[in-house]
Amino acid sequence: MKPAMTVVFTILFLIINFKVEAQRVLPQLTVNTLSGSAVNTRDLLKDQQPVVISFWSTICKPCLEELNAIRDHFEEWKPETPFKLVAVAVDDNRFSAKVRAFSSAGRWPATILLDQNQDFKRALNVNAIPQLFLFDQAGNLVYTHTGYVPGSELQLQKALKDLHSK
Amino acid sequence: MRAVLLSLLLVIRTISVCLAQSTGNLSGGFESNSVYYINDKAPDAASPDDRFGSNNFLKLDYTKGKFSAGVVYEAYLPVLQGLPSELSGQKITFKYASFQDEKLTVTVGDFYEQFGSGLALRAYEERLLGLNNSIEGVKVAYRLNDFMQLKAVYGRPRKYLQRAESQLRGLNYKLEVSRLFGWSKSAVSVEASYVNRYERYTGTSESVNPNVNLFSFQGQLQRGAFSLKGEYVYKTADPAIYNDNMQKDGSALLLEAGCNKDHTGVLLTVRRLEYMDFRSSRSTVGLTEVANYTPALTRQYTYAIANLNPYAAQSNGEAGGQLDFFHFFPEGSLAGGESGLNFSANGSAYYNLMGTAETGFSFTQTGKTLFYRDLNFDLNKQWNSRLKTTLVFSSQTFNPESIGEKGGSYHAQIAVADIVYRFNQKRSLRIEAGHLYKKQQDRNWASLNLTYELAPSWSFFTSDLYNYGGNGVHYYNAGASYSRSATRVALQYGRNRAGYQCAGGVCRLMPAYTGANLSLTCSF
Repeated sequence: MKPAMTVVFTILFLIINFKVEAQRVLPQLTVNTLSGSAVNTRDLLKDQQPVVISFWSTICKPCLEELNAIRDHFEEWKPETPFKLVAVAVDDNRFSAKVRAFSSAGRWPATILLDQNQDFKRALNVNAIPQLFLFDQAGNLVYTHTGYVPGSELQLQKALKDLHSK
Repeated sequence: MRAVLLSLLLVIRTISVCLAQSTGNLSGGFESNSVYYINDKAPDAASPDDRFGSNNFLKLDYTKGKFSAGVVYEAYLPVLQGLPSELSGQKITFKYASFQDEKLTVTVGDFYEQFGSGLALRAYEERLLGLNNSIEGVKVAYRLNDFMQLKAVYGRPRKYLQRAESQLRGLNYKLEVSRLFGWSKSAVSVEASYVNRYERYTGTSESVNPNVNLFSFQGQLQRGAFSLKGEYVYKTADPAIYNDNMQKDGSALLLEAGCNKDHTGVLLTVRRLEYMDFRSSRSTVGLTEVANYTPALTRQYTYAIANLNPYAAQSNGEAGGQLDFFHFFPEGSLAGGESGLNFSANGSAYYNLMGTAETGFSFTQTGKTLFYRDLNFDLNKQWNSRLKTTLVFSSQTFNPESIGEKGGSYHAQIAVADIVYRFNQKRSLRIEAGHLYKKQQDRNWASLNLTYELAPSWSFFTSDLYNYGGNGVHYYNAGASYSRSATRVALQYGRNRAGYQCAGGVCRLMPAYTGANLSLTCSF
């Protein structure tokens, strides 16, 4: 079981070491819109609003549930804690054609982006989806959460309130 | 190995301390999947001599202004069952330095890339399948103006933990026509790509060309609710083990047409492949050495019972397509009721090509051998704030010839009911019950999955997949997961059946096993 001990040791080291010292900002790179036009990710901050970025896929059920849950609360949260919602589809060519139909059927109040080469996903070190990020107006990461269970969206609401009260 | 790990951790520690006092940004991610295998005779699960398997990935990126650099360290201690045994030991498998401004991106080292739909070139990673064909070399992308972009790549593709004895070179040009002419109501773009693989040939056959060339042309149009996309690829002869050393040119055609209006969406996809298997080396048979991407264009289910016989695309000869339909019946409508109703349907069918290698294949007609067909629909209803239900029905025909096995086609009728009930804002219960009816092969299956979720972090589940009428085995599982911030830990124990595991439309045959699985992902 020596390898197992090595793995456990490494995990503990990383968690302890980096939770206090690492920081993240919204990276600058190019992704595509649904119409195929290139967009710089830093342009997402142009509206001077906090940006919520959700990485999702058409074959990820929790991802769809999370975006539906945010949609259901969007109008309720917006007056107190306005934000821009961005849904980044990491579907490759197999499913990317369905992204438009899925997002349309989901009626999400979101900007839909395609990350077919998964550059954006790698830049933010997303290992598993759904993963949600909240960036402030300057592009600094203030909240992130991986996975979704019903009710998780309330943590996002709390993070938005904390950000707006600063 | 311990010395290497300790050295690596010391370097990380030093960098992080330095960065705490200077500008720049350090980020990273860690993923670990470990299994302890148990001897279990019932499902023919073999446990390896070393009962432990563990795949681990550590990624570190440093960014300062327009510059970035990073590494990925992989450790297989040893590799999990079912993945290539060549993935053994540990190594820094990915390292890069990159400069990026608004017009120019230059990457030296390892990189991933995709041209067009990936039919000509795709370098990507799928850890679940042990697949990573990243390219080690140079990548340059230059945006000439608002509507033109040029990309060039050169390097050696990855082969397990080493590099293949071949070079890949590629050029891609993209023109956004609508931006060029200032069209605001339409989005039109065209793309052209060239890919070359050079692999030295030392054999005696004079007909083997060490160069394989691929030419790709793609166009995309969107206007209002309508969208249209097409790509054609021509590939020069590539006699190799993966196509029985056929001295034949290849081609691929992909067409997509869609319409989304109000609450309705329709999407038609058609694809034809002829000798389009393209890998980093002529002598390879392994899935992990692909150089392009020809996934199965069928529905991938999130329910295990509907994925027991997934389709794997036939890159050397296949023609078919799929049709998707989505509709939302709004609140207040007859079908929608108080909170609306989502309906979606999908149908796909794939056949062999008409003709023979000697006489050539028809471009417009399919052959008579059906590889796979699936007709399915979903009904998704949110009844109130507490209750949500999903009903899925699928009728599948699977030809074992498509995976190199003999025997007649199987016909399966599958139904799944998925119910989610929220007790309050934090607690919910999910019940998934499914049944598969099949007269042939391993006959009938039934499944039940109960998941209790406690927001925002905890999830507990227990499930059983029962093959009644076949081997009579229960494939049971139970587990729990915990998520906090960007960290997720999951532990489960159970029996897993042998079968094709698919990710992104690429499938690998995985052996049966029984054991405990611990997985951890975190990013920082």
